[in-house]
Amino acid sequence: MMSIVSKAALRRAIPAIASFAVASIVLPGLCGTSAFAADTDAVHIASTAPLTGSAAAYGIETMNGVHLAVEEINAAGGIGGKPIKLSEYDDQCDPTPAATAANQIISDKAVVAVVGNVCSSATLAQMPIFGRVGMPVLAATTSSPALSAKGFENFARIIPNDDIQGVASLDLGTKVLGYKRIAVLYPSDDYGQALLAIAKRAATASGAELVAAETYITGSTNDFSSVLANIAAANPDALFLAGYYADMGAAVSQSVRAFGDKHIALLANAQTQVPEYVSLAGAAAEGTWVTNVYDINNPSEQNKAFVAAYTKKFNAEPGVQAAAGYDNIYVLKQAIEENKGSTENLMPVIRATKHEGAMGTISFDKNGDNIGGSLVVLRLTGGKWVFDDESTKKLNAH
Amino acid sequence: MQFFATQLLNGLTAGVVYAMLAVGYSLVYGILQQINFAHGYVYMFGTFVTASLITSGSPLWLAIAAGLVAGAVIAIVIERFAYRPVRGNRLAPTVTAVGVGLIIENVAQLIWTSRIRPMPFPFQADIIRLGPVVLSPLQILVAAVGLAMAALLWVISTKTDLGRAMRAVKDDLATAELMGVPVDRVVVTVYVLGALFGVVGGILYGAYYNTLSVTMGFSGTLNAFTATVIGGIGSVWGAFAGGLFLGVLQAMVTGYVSSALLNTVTFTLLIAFLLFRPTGIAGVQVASRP
Amino acid sequence: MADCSTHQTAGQSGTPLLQLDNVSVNYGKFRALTDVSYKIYPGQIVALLGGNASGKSTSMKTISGTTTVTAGEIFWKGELITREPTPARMARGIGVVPEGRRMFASLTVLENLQLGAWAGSKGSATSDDIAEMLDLFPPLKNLVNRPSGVLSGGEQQMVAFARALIRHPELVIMDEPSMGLAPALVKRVFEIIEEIKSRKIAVFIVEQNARAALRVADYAYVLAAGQVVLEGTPDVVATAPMMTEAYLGKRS
Repeated sequence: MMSIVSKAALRRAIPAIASFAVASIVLPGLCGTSAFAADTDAVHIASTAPLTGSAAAYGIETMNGVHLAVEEINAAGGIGGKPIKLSEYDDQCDPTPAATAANQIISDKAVVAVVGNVCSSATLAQMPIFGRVGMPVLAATTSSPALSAKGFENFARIIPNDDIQGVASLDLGTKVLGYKRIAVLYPSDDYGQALLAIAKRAATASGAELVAAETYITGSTNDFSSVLANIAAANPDALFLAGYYADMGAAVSQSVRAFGDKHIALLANAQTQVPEYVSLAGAAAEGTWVTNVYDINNPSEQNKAFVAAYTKKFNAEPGVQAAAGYDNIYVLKQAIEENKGSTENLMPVIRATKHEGAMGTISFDKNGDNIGGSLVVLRLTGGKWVFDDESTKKLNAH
Repeated sequence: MQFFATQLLNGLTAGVVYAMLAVGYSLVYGILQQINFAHGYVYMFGTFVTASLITSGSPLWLAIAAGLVAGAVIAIVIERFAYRPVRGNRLAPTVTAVGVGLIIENVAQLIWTSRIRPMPFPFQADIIRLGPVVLSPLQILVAAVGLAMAALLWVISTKTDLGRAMRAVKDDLATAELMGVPVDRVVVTVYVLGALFGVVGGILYGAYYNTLSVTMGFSGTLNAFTATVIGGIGSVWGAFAGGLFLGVLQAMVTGYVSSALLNTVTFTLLIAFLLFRPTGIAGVQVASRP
Repeated sequence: MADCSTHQTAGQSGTPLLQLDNVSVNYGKFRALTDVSYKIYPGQIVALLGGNASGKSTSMKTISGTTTVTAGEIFWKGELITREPTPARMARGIGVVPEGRRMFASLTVLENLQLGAWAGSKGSATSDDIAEMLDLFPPLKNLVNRPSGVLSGGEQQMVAFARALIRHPELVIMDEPSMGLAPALVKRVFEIIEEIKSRKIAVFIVEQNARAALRVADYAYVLAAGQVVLEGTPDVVATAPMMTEAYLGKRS
């Protein structure tokens, strides 16, 4: 059935390809991206995510979610009868390979939208390149507020940004758990700088004090002993782990020696909720608090279906990365359908979309930030992330 | 005072690890005037062999021995196929070293993936109290191994035929050959020795910091290389001094200035030494030689 | 060309210790040696004379194996060693006094001597070997623990001799041993060479100081532009017209 459609579509497409080729020679100034894509037999979507490097675990899980959604949609007849065709690019969570990937994507005229972005610094390097051809970017878990603050017209993202998440992590420590002296450990990149700024604001707003702010270089700092000694010397009640899972795992593992008998609560952001954090940090990670935008135990119909399908396909439990990647594709599908099957001028339609997904309600503000979802609180108990109903309710009440 | 002692211990611990890695650069540079850019990848590979064997339940001694053997074997292969054919050429060994390093890193990625992994080791969660200062048994281990390796190097260098031959090859390779010194074998031994020090450093690193990634072959060696330059490249005792100096300096900058300035300080130091004192702090001794 | 039959009249017979047979050496397109043949018999002093760039140093490198032969063969006691690497050749019983002495500057005098014994039959120097060398070169006795780099030129030359002799070689090859030394020391160098000869050790010596070399030599070869242009006993070479005019004459 699908192959017949495809062949017919292809036959229809041939004159269009030919005329486009002519047009592009005669009128090289014409931007033919959407005109061309609209007539092909598939919806071409590109993904850019870290598949290697220090953030590979995030990228691979995100892409698992993307693959699952694409598979489901294609099996059910695609978007408006056209299957999704996915081309994958590895941005390594590094601005240089990310820019290379973006240039490759925009040179593929069939691509109608980009999904899957995980790293803010990589995406910040890509946005001006995508902006040149007006390529819609629907990011998965890039969370730096700078991305939306820059006012890119072609940008939206699935998860609430660091402002919303960071404030929530701090509020959990201060307003819900009652800690007054907060220390922060953050990476020196855009993501870390953004979280530090938020932590400062949120701590002040909730009447707590930021007693230490220590930084490190992701991918090269493995020795956290000196920064942990500084943190211990500042005598905090709680440490906000504002970095990537591998670095936070290493730091927490080493904190046993630096903190000694001192009890310092660990507040982590959503990035840390991966098994690698637990295996790297070992016993010292026990009791780590995490605020997140997604939990596998969310009882909504959409989430139950997603979890079942994901678990069946990958034989692993999905995390926030997988859910964001999954909802990524479904939001795009809904937007194209609401645009009557057209992929032209897609961005305003995406931003106007309200989608009930695995993560919850997804809707966007004028900058492309998701303002629809609610937050969850989990605690590492016996090596497992356990949904904390009471804290979740308290947090959302604030 | 307690804070100072803690940071000093942190710095010395990191410094011993830097020194172990720096010796590998200095041994090779001292003899062949060539920067062994593959060194970082060799120590990474050996350390990963040890870490993965520990994880899979091998006895600790076997895992360490296997890591050392792996480092030695790779060093022999690299010397034979990437360095010896271009020995004496200034640029070519650098190019082949970088190429070999990338191959090793890619192979390591295929075997162990690019994920960052822990390295389980005894005493990781234990602490010893010395008054207000908290010490780890592993810090004592790092210091003991560092001292033992320095003593070993001193004995090899001054008390053995091999050490004498190494110093002779360093002074004058061609004449050493005329004296019947099997220069090729001595050079291989130097690479192997450098690799062994590197793997020992890598294992201490993994044991103490409990975090390993295949990319440490490149990024992890920046500090070791800076330590080498500070100490005076080519001087193995300078490598020890440079390693300890850099480790303590970094801990003090982190403790008393700002962790945000760490890389700035390290790079500034590296560039300043390269520009104004390329012979390092051990340079006086080298220059006094006729 | 001088009378080649004189070679056998130098009091030697049988198999040469070292023989170069029609050896040519090219450096790229430049031909440094063309069809040279040398024979060195046990206990014989053979001098190699010639001007700058005549091929003397290349001859030495050919014997020590530090340069590759383009054509021709090298024999040690009749055994082919043309492709043998340097350390193996040295281990057969060749000692080297290299041009410019080439001290291991950061090593002490003692360590230099120990290094010299590396390729010897015993593998390393015994205290007897060391004592023997210090008896042969008494000024070194007080210098054994000094770095050789700080010694004077004459002292270094003694270390270089001792380093070559300590493993009791059958042949010592010397490249310009008198170069850069004061006249009194030059005299001493040639006394040492005679001392070496008295120990039945053959010597192959390259010298700018042709007169002094011919005084101690049993046989001599003269090189010009990479070819042997003259050979024979010292009196034959010393009196050859081309030598008196072009070479020895200018000095007398």
